[in-house]
Amino acid sequence: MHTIIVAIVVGLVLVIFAVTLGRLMRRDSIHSLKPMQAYDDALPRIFRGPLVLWTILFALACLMLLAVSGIMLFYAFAIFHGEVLLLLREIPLTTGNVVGHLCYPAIVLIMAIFLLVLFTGMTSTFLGKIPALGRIGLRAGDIVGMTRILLMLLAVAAALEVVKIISLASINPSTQIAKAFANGQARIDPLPLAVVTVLLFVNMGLWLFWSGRR
Amino acid sequence: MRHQIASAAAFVTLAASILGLVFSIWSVRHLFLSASIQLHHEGTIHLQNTLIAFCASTALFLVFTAIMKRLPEFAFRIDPDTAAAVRGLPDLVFLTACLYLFKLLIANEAFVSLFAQKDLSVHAIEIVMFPESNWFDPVMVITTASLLFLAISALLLMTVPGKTGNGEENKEV
Repeated sequence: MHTIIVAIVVGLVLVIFAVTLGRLMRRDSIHSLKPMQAYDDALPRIFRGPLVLWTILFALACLMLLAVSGIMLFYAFAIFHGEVLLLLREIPLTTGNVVGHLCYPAIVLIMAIFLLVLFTGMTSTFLGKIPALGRIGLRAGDIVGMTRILLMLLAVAAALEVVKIISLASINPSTQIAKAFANGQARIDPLPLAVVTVLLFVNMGLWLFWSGRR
Repeated sequence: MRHQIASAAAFVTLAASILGLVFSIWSVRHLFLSASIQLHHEGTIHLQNTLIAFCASTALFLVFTAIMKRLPEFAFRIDPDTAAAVRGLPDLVFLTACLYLFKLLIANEAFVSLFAQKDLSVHAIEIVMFPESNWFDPVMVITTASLLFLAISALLLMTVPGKTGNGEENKEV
């Protein structure tokens, strides 16, 4: 019974999506659906089917990203509320606890904004300007500008993640940090974490340096 | 001959881009159906998988556009905005690499967190499409394959003469 309900809901969503996309294309509310129009006449037939498929999948993926962004936005406030209640009622109000428990809602909030910027930038680039987004002030420039914003958001999220890891490791009463990483099974040690963190920030630094010189 | 090779490369790149989009949607589907967004590490890692596949797929589409741009008979048909977006290709590759590193960072955290008591860490590292294997990472494979396609396509771009989206002769490589 549950499977049937899920199948019906998914089917309805897909039908609504297809109908909406079709109507938008007819009314030209989405200005171009550029990839399809761009290659319309000149391309060999072998490319036409995949391009239509790409456009539909891309639109579907963008729609899903927007939905996830909305869910994460609500979720960020929900867990922020939960973490504050936890800090006030359940666990000691120490610095490690406060930092460790408040970083995660902040990361979720940042990723929600990340998804929204990604959605706006990608749809503007590949599907054409959506007037409704412009009306509420969500305008994206080109991919270069969008990536700059996204990487800044990612840098903040990564920094918060590192802070959270360190605080979580420090408040774990059973072990010191090395033992906490091993978790009694010696699967991993802090070295990979340090390597990944350094790589991430070096990568971003190189990009900013290189991007600024273009 | 070069034209045929470039066309074949374009087709393969487009197919890889479609595959990336499918994987991206599949990851979102998993995120929704399992409601794992509420599990800190798992949800965030599924989200990173989605984003990595999405960005890699878009980068591959830009490669496809770049290849078509270099083919003289198609160049003048390309939408100028789409053609201009090709300059953002290196940025998207950087973004994909950073997202992958961020995913590794989060996956690393799974070991240190209190949730690791439930052995969630193993599941967090592996990917939903291959739940029984903890040594095979499809995202890594897809990312590596994407980068390989990018490298091959970039080589082809350097060998195929063409025009810009505005129909002007393009001398830059």
